[in-house]
Amino acid sequence: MIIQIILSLGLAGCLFYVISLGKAYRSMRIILFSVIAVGFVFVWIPDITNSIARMVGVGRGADLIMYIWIVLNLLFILRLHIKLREQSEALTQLARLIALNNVD
Amino acid sequence: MSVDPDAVWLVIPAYNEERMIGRVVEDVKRHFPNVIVVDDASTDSTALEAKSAGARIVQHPINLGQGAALQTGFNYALLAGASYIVTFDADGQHHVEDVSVMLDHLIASRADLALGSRFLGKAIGISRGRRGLLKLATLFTKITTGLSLSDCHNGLRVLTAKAARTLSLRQNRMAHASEILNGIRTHRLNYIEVPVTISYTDYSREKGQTFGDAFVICRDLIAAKISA
Repeated sequence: MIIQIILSLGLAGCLFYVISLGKAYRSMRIILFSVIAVGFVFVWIPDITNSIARMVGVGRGADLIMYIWIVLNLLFILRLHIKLREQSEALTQLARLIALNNVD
Repeated sequence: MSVDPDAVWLVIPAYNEERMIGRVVEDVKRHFPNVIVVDDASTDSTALEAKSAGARIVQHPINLGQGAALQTGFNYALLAGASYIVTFDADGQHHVEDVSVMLDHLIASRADLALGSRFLGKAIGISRGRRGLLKLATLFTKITTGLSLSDCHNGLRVLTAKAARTLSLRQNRMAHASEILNGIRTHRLNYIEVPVTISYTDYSREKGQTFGDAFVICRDLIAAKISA
């Protein structure tokens, strides 16, 4: 019972953050909303995870959640990597412009 | 020489090369009046040395890497109206006499760019390990781009303005050499290889690429493929 309250508070924090993003990042917001909603369901009705796990061929619900968690993380890292590259390209162009404008 | 030296711009990317850059610039200035040193935010007096030797200086506000410095040099030279752009290393391993020969070959062949080859020419003081690594890089190039080159990581190149405009370097660090070759294939540019001499000195060995850099280059190329 205690862990369910702690996890719910954490999820509520996430929910607050996602709402605070406002209208920007529309697709990201929808994904995060769904993840949080599913999170609430799993926290309060944990038996569901077990039945889903058995359905897809995994022994325990906890294992299933961990596997999904790992995949989500990898996707997130990849996305961050692409974003970083885009940022660094923009930075390069900016630095180049400054360099060329400052030639005496 | 059949080409007007005023139409030729040398681009020398430099990062912390204060000990050698002055000599290199003086040497090339004897043959070509237009020399751009792209100072990649050196922490030493590279820019000062290059300037007093008579080069034009373009200074990156932050360190971006050799590929980025070359692209900055291309932009500057194209704006200045260059007909031919030469990429030249700052560590003194290239010989400016080779540039004239490459220009002559380039014009005679009507190709878009001339690539220097130390293996058609001479590689003075090259170590066996480096020779092996470069041969491996040649094989890598053959597999990834289908180009049969004898030397694919040579910093000495002559580009026509058209080639320089066509190639846009997005690889900021060292993978730009492979990127240029990929660009040659993608844009169907015509290239020739010209024998050149590379002199390895203790200085150039100290400043040059190491075995580990080969992995960095591969990593950058793969990352570019993923995010392209």
